[in-house]
Amino acid sequence: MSFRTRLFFGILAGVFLPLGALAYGVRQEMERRLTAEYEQRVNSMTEVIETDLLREGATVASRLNGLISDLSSDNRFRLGALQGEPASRRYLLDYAGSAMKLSGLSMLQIQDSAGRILSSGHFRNEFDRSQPQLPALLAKAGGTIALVRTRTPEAPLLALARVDSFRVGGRRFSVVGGVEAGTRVGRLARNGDLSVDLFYPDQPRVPSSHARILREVYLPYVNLLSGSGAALDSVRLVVTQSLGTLQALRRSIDRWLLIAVALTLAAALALAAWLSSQVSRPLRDLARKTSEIDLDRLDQSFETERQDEIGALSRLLGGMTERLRTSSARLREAERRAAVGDLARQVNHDVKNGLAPIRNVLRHFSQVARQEPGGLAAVFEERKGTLESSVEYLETLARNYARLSPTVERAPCNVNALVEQVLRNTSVDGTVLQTNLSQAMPHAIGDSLMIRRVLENLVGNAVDSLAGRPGGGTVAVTTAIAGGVGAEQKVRITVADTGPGMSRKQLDQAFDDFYTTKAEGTGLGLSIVRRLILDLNGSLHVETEPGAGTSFVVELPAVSGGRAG
Amino acid sequence: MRCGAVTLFLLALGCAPQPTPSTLAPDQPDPCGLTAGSPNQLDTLTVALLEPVDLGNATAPANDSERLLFRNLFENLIRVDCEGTVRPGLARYWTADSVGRGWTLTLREGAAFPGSGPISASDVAGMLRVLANRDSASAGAFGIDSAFELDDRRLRVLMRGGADSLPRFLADPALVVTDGLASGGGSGEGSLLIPRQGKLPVIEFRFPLQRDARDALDREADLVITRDPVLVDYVSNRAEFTTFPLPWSRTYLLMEPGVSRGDLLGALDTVSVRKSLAKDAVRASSRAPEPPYWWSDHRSCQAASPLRSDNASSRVVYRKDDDIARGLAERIVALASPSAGLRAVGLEAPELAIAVRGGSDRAYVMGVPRQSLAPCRDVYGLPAGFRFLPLIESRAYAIVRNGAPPMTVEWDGTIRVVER
Ligand SMILES: Nc1ncnc2c1ncn2[C@@H]1O[C@H](COP(=O)(O)OP(=O)(O)O)[C@@H](O)[C@H]1O
Ligand SMILES: [Mg+2]
Repeated sequence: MSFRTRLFFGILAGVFLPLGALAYGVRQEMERRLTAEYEQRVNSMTEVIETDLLREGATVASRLNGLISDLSSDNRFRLGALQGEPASRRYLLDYAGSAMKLSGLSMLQIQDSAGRILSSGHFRNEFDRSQPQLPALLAKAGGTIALVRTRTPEAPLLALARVDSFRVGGRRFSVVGGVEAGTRVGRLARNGDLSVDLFYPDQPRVPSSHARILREVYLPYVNLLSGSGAALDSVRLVVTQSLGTLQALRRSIDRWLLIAVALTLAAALALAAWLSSQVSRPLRDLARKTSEIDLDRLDQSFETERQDEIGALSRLLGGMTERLRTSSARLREAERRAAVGDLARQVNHDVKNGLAPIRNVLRHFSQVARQEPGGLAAVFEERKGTLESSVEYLETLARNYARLSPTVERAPCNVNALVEQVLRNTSVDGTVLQTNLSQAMPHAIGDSLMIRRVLENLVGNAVDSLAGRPGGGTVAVTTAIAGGVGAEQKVRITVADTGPGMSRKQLDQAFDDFYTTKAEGTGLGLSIVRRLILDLNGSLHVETEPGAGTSFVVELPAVSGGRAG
Repeated sequence: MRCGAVTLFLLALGCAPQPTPSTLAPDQPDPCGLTAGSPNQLDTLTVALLEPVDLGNATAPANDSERLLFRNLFENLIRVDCEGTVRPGLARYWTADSVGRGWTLTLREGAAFPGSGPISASDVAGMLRVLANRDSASAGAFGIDSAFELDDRRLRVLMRGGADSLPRFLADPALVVTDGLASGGGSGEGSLLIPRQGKLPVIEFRFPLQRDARDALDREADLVITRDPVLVDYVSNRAEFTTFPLPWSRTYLLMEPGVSRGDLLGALDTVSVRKSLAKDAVRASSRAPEPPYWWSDHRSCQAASPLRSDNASSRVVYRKDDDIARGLAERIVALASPSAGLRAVGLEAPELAIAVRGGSDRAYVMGVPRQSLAPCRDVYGLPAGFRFLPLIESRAYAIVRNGAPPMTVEWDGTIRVVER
């Protein structure tokens, strides 16, 4: 996971957790408050309904009372109902209709003790029907108001009704009166998101999913229209609070939350991108610089103005490179010393080897001088060659070791001139020498003698590699500017031959001391070259392949701004 | 209730023997006449119409008021009185040809449309021809073959079948001779004045401006036709009015479309139920119906109709402005079980006609004339494929101010003002 991604998720987590907690809290609190408010409203609505029902009951009761007192003293009613007098019959049939209108009721029927309807207001022509259940059931309801479903000629009628009875001429009559209930209930039904619904006994109890049942009021119920016969049931007036408002609120909170989340997401993305660019770009730079460091190139600059962790890291790396640089110098010194130690042992060994024949000859001389002094001249003549060859060996040895002198002088050197000088002193037979010298060359910094020795060795090896090859070959020396500008600028010298080349293994060994494949070789040439180049602060690399020739590429620091003449 | 001094001999028409056409001698008392008090004290007879009137209905009056208005406004070729006797109308004389298919009628001298020009034989013949052409194909036609004028006052009418006497359907409202006024249509408003014609008085018809008929009687109406017993009751104590019960003129039928879920007809088809219907269920002078019924022998005149689909509706339908039909429909609903869910529904006349044609209701309560001059034509007009049950018969009352001009009761119980 990249730094940027981690940063992004970190910011998200940091914002989302509090945001979520806030949303949850707000929702909880809101629900709690609204629910409490709803409960109060439902309670008061229930109270209103209950008092309403009581009031309706009282109204109907008082109207029935008035009717009864009127009926008891009504002669034509008496004649029609008791005597069945034909002239009063029509009066009787029409009585309930006009009485109902006068008393403001919507349902009125007068029945005799057997339950026969004598007069009906809401359904005039229902006379003579027998309906004993209604007064009986209403009486059973305990004198309270009840919901009655009955009929008119046109449609079913839902009435809040009660029963009363009276006596005329020793006979009992009952009066059932009521007010229309449908619109009364309907009027209650919608009060904002508070609703009152009527549930009949045969209706399922399941309320709509958007509301929760809060209170129920029970009301006695007689359904005269049911096929199975009338019975005393009860209807439920269910006061429900619609949760629409609550849900709308919830939704709007969710919407705002969603907007906040989206904004946060965008902000987090942007912030993560910016922060990571602030942090990771310098890190990337550091990584690049660090990757470019090796023992030969410890000149990376880690200088920075930054005061933050990156700055600290940068300075740390700078310090480390600095230490590496000194360590490297020290390493090189140690290497050199180790080489010198080896050399000393070698010199010791070589000198001893050179001196051993001389000592033998001298001992031989001493013996001869002691035993037969006369033969000394002859012996000397005989052994002089040994002496001379030993001395010559020692001289060669000395000359060779003198080449290993590590004194380094730093001065601008004209590399092109050196190349020409070296090639002029090179003897060739059958080998073509080519030069390809850049005219716009700066001077290299270093000891011209050392550079010359480098060139002598490389050119010599190249010429050697072509020896004995049928048709000879070519040695090409090329000079060029390499690297960047200023202090970075280098002088590049390439010595290429068309010789046999080297395998990977040969190349690895070629720089070892005393490794040689030549009968006359010393095996020290390339190791000297490497040391010289190191001492010159230069670099060397080899491009070779068996059968494809070899190129030695030397790069030396150049004089900044300087140009070869 | 005080009734008129005149006795009405109410005969079931269609069975009555046909009297020889003749004019009634002036000195002969009219058996159908109505006389309240000493007649002819009033110059103008003011008639209060209690129901809405549509002048376009002259050939098919829809209520008592329209019948009264058009009977006195227009004339037929002949009249048929309350006893079923044919009497001269526009035609004063008529003679039959030898086969009994053709009739030559002579119009009354000076016959004229009220308030406009004279009536010529060609007017009448033209009208009859139109009718003959229109009806030629249908089973419910009157049976006129052709008609043409012989001269100004004489026309000849040719029937399809033979007849012993002049066909009485010439007195049917469908054959009323009108001028353009009737075809003009429109509802009456305010009043309509029929000017004095010969020995006839001026008649002023007042159209119903207020619903309460008692207001009309209190405002100098001289003649009111009503079926409302409350109104009869109201005038029973007023000496200036005489109330005459008119012949039983409407029969109320319960009609059930062919296929029916329950049998409403069966439940009601007892004399006691129908007596109680007549006595208690309607606020009108009514009685249990008495056969014979003019439609009984003419069911074959009805167009064959496909059997109706099962009537899904629980409606018992009646014409909205017909209180008697409403009372009957409500009683029918009351007698059915409450769980059956029947309901009485009143429809305006056009909707009722559509509903009857659809036949998708449970039942229909409809009033039809108790008499018919052309039973075959009238049966044809009844909805086909229904079962009928006559529920009750009702009649109207004529409330007449004493001193009004003499009037006569015609075959359908409608009153016509006659010459002094
Ligand atoms: N240009 C070259 N082409 C092929 N082989 C080479 C070349 N230069 C050096 N070598 C190999 O590297 C060995 C070591 O070389 P060097 O150290 O110069 O010692 P010497 O020249 O004395 O052998 C050589 O003997 C030869 O085998
Ligand atoms: Mg060499």
